[in-house]
Amino acid sequence: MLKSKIVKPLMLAGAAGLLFAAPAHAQLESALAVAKSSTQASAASQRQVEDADDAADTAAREYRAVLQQTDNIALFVAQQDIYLQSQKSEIQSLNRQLGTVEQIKQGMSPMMLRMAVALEDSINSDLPFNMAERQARLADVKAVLSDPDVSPAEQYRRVLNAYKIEVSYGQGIDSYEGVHPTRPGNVVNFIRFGRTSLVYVTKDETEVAKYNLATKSWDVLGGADALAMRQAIRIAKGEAAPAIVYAPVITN
Amino acid sequence: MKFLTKATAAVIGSAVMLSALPASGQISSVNELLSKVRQDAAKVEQENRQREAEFRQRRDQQQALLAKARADLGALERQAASVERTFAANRNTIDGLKGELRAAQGDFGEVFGLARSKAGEFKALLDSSLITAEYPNRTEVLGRVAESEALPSSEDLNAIYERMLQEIREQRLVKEFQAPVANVDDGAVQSVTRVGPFAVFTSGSANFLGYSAPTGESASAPLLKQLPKQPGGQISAAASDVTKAGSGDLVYAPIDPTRGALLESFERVPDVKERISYGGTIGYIILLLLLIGGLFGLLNIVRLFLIKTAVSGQKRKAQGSKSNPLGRVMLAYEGAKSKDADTVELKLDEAILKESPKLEVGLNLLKLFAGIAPLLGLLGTVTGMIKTFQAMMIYGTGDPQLMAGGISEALVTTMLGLIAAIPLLILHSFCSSLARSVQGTLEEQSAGIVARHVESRTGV
Repeated sequence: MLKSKIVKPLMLAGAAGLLFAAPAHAQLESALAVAKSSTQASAASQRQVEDADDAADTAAREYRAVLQQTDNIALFVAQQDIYLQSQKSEIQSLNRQLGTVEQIKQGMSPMMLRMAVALEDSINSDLPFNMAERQARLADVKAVLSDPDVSPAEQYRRVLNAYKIEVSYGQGIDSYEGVHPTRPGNVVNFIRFGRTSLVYVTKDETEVAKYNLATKSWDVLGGADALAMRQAIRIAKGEAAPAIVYAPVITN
Repeated sequence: MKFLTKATAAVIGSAVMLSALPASGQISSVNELLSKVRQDAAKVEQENRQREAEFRQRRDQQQALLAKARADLGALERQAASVERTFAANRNTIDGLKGELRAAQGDFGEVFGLARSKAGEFKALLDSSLITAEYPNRTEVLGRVAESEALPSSEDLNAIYERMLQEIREQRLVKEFQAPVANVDDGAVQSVTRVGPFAVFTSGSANFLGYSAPTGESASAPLLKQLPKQPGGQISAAASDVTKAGSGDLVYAPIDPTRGALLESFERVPDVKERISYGGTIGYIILLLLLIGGLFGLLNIVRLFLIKTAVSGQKRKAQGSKSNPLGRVMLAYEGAKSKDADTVELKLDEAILKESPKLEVGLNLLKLFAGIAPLLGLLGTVTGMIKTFQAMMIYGTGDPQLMAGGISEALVTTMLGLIAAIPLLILHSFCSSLARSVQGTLEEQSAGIVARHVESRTGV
């Protein structure tokens, strides 16, 4: 199209020139040649432009893809950095633990012994209830601790169990029959209000006494309500529905 | 893009042609034409070169950018690879260290596992005790040991049994401490008293408090809250005694063997109004009956009492009055004084007979009310049981709570019927005894009048 548009006027001009002079013919020829080559050069140039343009487009598309991939990898790296951080602290913690494990292991047996001693002190300074049972458990714990054939885990489990049982004593009320603390020929009903109070009531309900932790002796309660104690004993034994009971206590 | 470049080229081409066309008019020689063509060709060539250069530059720019982006990507990929290598290496290191640690622990590995599980168990045990309200942070260390994967330190291991020893010590005490209490002064810190791990109440007004174990979510919420309904009576009085006692005094402290559940259940015990509402319509009818009957009976007692006093007053007077029954009987005698003894006696009997219905007015109504109140109660029982059986028919017997409504209606109406009948019966018997005593006085006095009449007639 370009070609024909340029060539057409040239041809007309060439035809006009032919009418004037014959030697001009050669010149016209060369003009035509010039125009033709110019057109060809333009076409070639256009092809080059198009190629360059295609290449630029392709590069732009690839560029976008590469940017997307870069983003993804950057995110991945950032995430991995967080993991690395946590791994680092874990390694630190493990190293620290490795540093102290020997020490803790060596401290374990003395600690269990201390636990047993603390338990013994606690029982001895406590209200004297279920003493036979508790002393037996304590003796058992001590025996286990001094037996080298028992694994440390089993030893630890036994000591902790003893602690748990001791704590559970303080969480409920309980009643049992026992020997009169000061007149061993008689049998009385004991009623224990957790660890807050330990009381005995004689079978004929004429004497109610409370254990005094400070003096480690039994104080006879004058004017105590034997009926209320009987009620508490029934509740403690599960023979009556739970109700609020009243314990003789010393305020701190 | 291609189309655009083609279009541009066409435009440029036609521009060249247009600039040439007017010139062609002036072209006078072939030489001129030649030079013109040459000029145009050179111009077009230059323009083409320029365009090519521009496009090439654009291409080069894009390619340079792409190359840079590729280089960046490459660097990142290398970094990612190295990070991955580090990660894997770290993992190996960690596994190695863990193995080493396991080996180092030896027999004690089991001990540490046990310490962890027992710490969790003891935390739950201690959290359930209201002593935690006094030491709100005491179980934190146990939670940490239970949840951490790391080895517990010596201090942590010591804390496990020391917390238990502390609990044992504190279980003995009845003591006062400071703690925030919900629903009192917007959760302000209060002075509260606890009886071991069994009950806790405010030291000022001896109001019982409920304890709830700390939960992870509401760490700042107070562990104690005032119970909406206080038990009252002996229980509250005992709590009040404890708060008033000085240090070292012996007091009888209230103990909740269920450690809080019992005290909190008072909230669900219905009060009098709620209980009465269980009786339904029949219950309200019975109460209306009691109200009307009771008022009527009391008014009757007042009336009869006034009549009795008036009659007693009349006994001492010789002159009869129209305002009281005895006076009216005496007036009847005055009217028949001149007649013989038999006539006088008949007249007096007539007068007494006239008085009797006035005295007994309302007594039958009272008796009726006292009689139908328990019957209505019985009716309520029957309707209540019908409701119960209906519930059983519809829902089956799986859930006893569904039947509780009907049964409570049955029992409450019976109770209300008896509550109404007993005082109404007492009122009735009171009224009738008063009426009978007035009647007795009338008969006694009339007999006296007849005797005196006979005496005066025979003229002894």
